[in-house]
Amino acid sequence: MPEQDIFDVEYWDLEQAKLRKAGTPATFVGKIALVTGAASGIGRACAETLHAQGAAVLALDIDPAVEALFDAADCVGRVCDVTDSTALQAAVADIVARFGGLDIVLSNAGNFPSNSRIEEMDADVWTRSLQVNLSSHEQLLQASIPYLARGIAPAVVFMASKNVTAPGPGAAAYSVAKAGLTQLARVAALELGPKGIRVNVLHPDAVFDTAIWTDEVLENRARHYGMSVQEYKTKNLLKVEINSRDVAELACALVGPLFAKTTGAQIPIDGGNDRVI
Amino acid sequence: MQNLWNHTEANSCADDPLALRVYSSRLLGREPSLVLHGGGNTSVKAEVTDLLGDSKSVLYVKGSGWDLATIEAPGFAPVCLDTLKRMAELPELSDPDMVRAQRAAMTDPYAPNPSVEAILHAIIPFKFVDHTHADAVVTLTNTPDGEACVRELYGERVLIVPYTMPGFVLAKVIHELTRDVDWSQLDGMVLMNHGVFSFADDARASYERMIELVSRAEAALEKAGATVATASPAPVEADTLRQLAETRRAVAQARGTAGVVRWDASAEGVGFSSLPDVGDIATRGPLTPDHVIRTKRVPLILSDEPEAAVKNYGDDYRAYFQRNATKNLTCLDPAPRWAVWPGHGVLAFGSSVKEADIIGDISAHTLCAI
Repeated sequence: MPEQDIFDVEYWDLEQAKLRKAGTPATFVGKIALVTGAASGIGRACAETLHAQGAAVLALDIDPAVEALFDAADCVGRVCDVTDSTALQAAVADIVARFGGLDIVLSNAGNFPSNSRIEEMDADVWTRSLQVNLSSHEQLLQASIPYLARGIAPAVVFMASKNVTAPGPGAAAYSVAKAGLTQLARVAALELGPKGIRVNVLHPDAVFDTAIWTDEVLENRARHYGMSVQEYKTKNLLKVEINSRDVAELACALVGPLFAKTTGAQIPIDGGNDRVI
Repeated sequence: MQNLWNHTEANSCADDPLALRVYSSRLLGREPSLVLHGGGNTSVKAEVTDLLGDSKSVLYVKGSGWDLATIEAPGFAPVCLDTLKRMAELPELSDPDMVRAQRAAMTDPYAPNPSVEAILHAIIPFKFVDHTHADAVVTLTNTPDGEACVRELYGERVLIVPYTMPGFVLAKVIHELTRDVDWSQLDGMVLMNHGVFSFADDARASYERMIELVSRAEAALEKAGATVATASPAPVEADTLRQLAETRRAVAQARGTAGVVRWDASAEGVGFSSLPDVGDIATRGPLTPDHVIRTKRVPLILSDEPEAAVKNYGDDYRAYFQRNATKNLTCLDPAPRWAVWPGHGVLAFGSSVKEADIIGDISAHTLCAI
């Protein structure tokens, strides 16, 4: 067909009018995001929030339930044990092949080992916490860097903890791993800044709508402090309850345009903690 | 092509013309090689009585934004039939003015915008009118001696219409062409490089004529030995994925917005991308001009240097714009919407997965047709 006939349809008044009518797209339209620990709690809220704001998301979790959690071509759950580096590399290859690249990594997967004082701690508890809460994040970052470096406004958020700045007794395995994770993020911010990749850290505290906090655990902790469950949930300076959705919104802001000029930062989301301040 | 008409389902529509129209439109919509993503349109002419008891002839025509596969009764816009027929007599009319006048002639202000082919549907003197962009028919018309092929295949019972831009001008051309035509002698119309119409006073007859016309085109293509190349994809290596990410970033920079890529590494996609002359045959233009809005005129042919390839594509696009822009137009973004990745398959670019998947469907049909 003559080129002019095709051009006339491409630049048809009616089509041009439709294009002009299209409104401002959502923040993450066209962006590609990987979220770990995404079958529940903060990770799930992060995957849902990124997707709701337009991102194409691959959501990883060791729990097979993640596969049936999202019902969309642009938000897909995949089983992955983050402590298995081969499985992590396959997941990164999957997101690139599936959506064309990688821009956002929300490195969130973690566990909270049972409380034990140092003198009584099982060697396995220590090793396992370092694997899940520290080494797996380093391996995910390493596998992601070649693609983030070719991404669009690339950004990484590591989910650390209040325990980094205000540790508690009985949580050495957890606090040390999260402190190491924070240090990893600081070094990564230094190394990756020249590639345009931003790396920031969140320190959430007392997010009670996650898998760790069953009703029973909550009641026990509240009783321990001589408080009601509601008082216990809001024992912070602002007297507010913090939930997974709040953390997800902040994590999304951190990887979005609002924080486009910030890297290497650590932000608490804990309702205000006098030990942290 | 299979005839999907089902007596029981059709009978449940009783004598309600709009219900029957919904039913047979959805049958067409179920077949992706007839209509893709909002393509094609259908209509039915009916008598309606308004609040004041006045009777009126209306054309229920597919509304903008509805897809034949999922259309429902509210997806058809009721437009005063007489107004549409009189509009066909106007010497000229801009498309924006046509859209405004059609909207003003609707008997329900909350209905969607009527199809831009509404006037054309109105002047066809049958109750049911079906229009598709059937791959097989369009492919035949796109061959070098397309018109002769179509004439030989269908004989005199099909009116052949030379390519004309959709909208008012197309309705006008057909109105003039058919002034002295005995419609009862026609089974349908083939619009070169665009699609096919069937019509009848009975929903089933119109639908079945469409299936028959398309089946004959399919058989002709098969007889001519048209085949689709296939090949198995190469193993995916880190280098391949890095090149994919670089391509995506270069396209996003050219488009000015982030976007995703859907990669067709099927046997057909890889087979097509591996053809020795793919750079030539893939850039001969869209299957039908309608597709240009989503796919642009030609795909990107990727090389080992994605950034350079995307830059060259953009330079070519700007030159194409300069060659053809006749009035005060603004050049659209110069980014490709799909790419042939030699040896690896076909890529579709979209600002969302949904958009990329639509483009991927269109490109898959296009390369089958090629």
